[in-house]
Amino acid sequence: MRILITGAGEVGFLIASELYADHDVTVIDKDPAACARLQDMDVKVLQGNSANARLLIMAGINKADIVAAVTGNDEVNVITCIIASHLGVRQTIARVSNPEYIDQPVQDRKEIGISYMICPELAMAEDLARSLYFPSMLLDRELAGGKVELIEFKVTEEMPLQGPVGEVNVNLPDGCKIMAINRKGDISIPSKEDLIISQDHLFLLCNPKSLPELRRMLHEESSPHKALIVGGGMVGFYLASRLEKMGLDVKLIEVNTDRCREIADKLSRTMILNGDGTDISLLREEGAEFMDVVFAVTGLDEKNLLCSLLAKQLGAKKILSRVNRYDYIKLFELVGVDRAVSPGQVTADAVLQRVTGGEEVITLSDERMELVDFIAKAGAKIIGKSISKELPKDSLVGMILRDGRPMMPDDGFKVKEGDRVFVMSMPEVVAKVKKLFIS
Amino acid sequence: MRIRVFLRLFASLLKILAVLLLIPGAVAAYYGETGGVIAFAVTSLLTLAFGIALGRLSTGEEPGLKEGFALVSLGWLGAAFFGALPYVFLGLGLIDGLFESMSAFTTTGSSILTEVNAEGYWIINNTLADSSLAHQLELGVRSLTANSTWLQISSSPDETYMGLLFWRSFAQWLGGMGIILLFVAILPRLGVAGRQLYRAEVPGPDKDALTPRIKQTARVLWVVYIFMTVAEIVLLYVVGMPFFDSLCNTFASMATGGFSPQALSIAAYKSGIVDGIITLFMFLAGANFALHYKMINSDRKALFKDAEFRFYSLIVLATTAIIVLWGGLQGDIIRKIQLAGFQVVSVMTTTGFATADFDQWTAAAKFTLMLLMLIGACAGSTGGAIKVVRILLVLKSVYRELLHSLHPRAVIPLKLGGISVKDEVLRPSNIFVATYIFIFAVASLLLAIICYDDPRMNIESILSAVATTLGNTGPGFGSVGPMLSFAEIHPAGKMLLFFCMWIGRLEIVTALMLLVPEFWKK
Repeated sequence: MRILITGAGEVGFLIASELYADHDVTVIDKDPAACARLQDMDVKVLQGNSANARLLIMAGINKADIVAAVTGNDEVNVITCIIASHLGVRQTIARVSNPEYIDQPVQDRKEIGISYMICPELAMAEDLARSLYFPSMLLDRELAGGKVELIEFKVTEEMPLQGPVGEVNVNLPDGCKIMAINRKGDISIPSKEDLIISQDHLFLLCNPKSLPELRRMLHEESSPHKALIVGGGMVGFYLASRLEKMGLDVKLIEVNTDRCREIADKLSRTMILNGDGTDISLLREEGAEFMDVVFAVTGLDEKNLLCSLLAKQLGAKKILSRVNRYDYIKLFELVGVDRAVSPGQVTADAVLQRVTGGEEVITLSDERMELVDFIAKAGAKIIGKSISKELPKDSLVGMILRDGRPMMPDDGFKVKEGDRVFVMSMPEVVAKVKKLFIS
Repeated sequence: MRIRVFLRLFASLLKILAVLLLIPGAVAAYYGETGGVIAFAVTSLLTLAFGIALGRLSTGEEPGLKEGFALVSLGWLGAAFFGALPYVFLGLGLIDGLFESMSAFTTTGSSILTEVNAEGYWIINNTLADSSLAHQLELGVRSLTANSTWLQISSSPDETYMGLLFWRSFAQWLGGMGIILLFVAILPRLGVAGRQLYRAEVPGPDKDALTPRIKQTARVLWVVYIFMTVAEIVLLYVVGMPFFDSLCNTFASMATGGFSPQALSIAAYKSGIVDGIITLFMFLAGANFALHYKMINSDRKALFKDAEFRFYSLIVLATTAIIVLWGGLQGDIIRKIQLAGFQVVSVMTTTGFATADFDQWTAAAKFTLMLLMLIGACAGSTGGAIKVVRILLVLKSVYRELLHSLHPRAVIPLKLGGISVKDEVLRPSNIFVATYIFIFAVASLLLAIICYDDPRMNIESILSAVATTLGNTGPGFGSVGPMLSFAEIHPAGKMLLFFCMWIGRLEIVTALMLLVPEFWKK
């Protein structure tokens, strides 16, 4: 496919790096430095204003299958998409942050020529809010329109999960499978003999129906009650309003007095505290140690990190942090943040999930691993073969959707045409895995 | 303040009043009350003459904020003064007349009348009436027309005072929605001043602009008011109340005034249905008229969504329960609920009708009623006193302060119906409550000093007299109880209460404005 990306910031960069291997990618950005970052990739780079129709045409917009407008400027993105749809582009995706234009993470705005509007802040808040289904949960992402869920959670000593992966998998409820282990920031795909230890983060692919059973297995207490949010920007505000609706007892710390008033007017039950999230006496005063979950979502990475560590030190049960520089994710998780999320990454994932039409849909892009769902097309190498034998080392098949029904593949499972196969793999072997599904 | 600009507005107000005074005159004529006809005719002429004369002195400049305030505060005093003249012409003393007239316009309903005729209607003492100006004029006219065959005038004073009783209730009805609001609604070319007048007369935290233009808003409110008034008159008449009484009682209940032509007030009709209808209309009149308009016009649930109305209803239910349980009422449970419900609504809406001598009830019941006198009705209603919404804001402020002590860094907005109340609204509202209580305390002290040698004016009577006049309710307890009158209070005390009614109706600020030296500067 031909894909045009405008904006080579975090989001544009991530999307381009996921897609350039299999597609024709063109990137436009105003900033020469951002353009220079793309030199290592096999993509066409144009420098200039992406609201300029002439430049867009020069970039081949009228032949593009997909246009992803992901610069930091809402209006420019909207203009790009409108131009694209005028020129007949079927799929247009615009990144839009201003709450006046968008009030949910992903919005369908076909009437103005935009297939999807995606808001990084809201998408991130949504992602964080979804991680509260049970106390140890860190991530819960719906895949394939909600038929499959990818979850991540932290193992504690009370959980009946210690032992080799193969055994634990048997004990898990039907429709759940361990896909990867994150140990202090390092992600690996386990073999059956690998041991799970306390404090590991497990990635599971699950049939949504078996989640309640999993929750019962892992926890006596069902869901968290107290949450502390540090940072009252768009992410913090939206997160607070989501958590309010879920019935949590929410406190939010924001440093700017005017912003405090503004969000206090809009929120109904959240307690807004005017102060600095790294002020240890404030954290202590407001009972950070009793929090079931702390979200550090200010715009400053150093503040988020410090605040997360303070909360952890005080004894908060679970800490999720926003990290604006994608490169810091591993570092954050290494020093004790339970999960670090970058808005760029969440947005790139949201964009990639909607880039359909090829053989695969990328659902999770992390430099440490990748979860891809492939559609086995006619003539693909894998058809009729036992999938677990064909897949290279460091890759693992999780769930298969056959005629819309999730199935757990056993060792002898053979792939049929039309199957949707979810594969977790390390970045080094992704290319090998892809070959199996290409006709 | 520019006196001559103010005079133009004031003159127009007097002219309108002169026309309105013809209505009770016509009622007096209908009942063949010669004295009444003369009293109203003379008053109307005098008012008109003053209006014209003052109009001559005025200039046509655009009125500003100060003139607006002056018109509202002095306009009410002027209306009370000219409205008092018929009482004076029919035989009451000037102070009594002023008291009765102010009590009417401010929808208070405290009365100095003491005598009753055989049908139970209020009348003026015969000795006073004999020497009254109207009667003297009547006799004078009679001697001139002694030989005339077309004009037969009796030599004794009127037996009834239907015209005057009508005037008492009618003045309440005018004062209920606001005489200045009426002025804004009907006077052309008021421009920006209209908005200022509206703000000065309809103070309080809740000021929904119903329509973009203030004249239109004033009209809308009056139309809703008239509509509900007609509905009540018809209902009362249908269930058997005499037409005259239906008119007067409707005027008094829609305005939350409380003047009944019957000395026994609503108890005189001995009808549960009448009690029920009046309770309902008093209750509605005690709610925000802007919400009534919304109910009729757009949102059928506007009233029930309103935080103030809910709290208002809650207070009515809770206090009714208190009085039913611990009020020492006579009768079975249904009768108790009927009596307590009527009295709670009557006092809380600051109407002041009575279906029982509640002065005989227990201290628990009386104190409940006393608190209701202080709380009053909803903002934007025809009722008086502190207003429910202000009480609600005080309670929420207190809670916020407590919460703030526990969480010193918290930013806690104060919300009413899900919407944050701005500090610019909250501050004057809370200051109002404090000022109201302060004025209540000072006025009570003054009244106690004035009545120091009157053994019947005990502390209960004094406090309730001030609370009831300041809140524009009507009856109090003890020697000013529902079946007694204010007639025996020392004249200085009457004048004090006269000003209490005025200050209370204008919600303090507009009245006290006259005391600010800055106000009088040019």
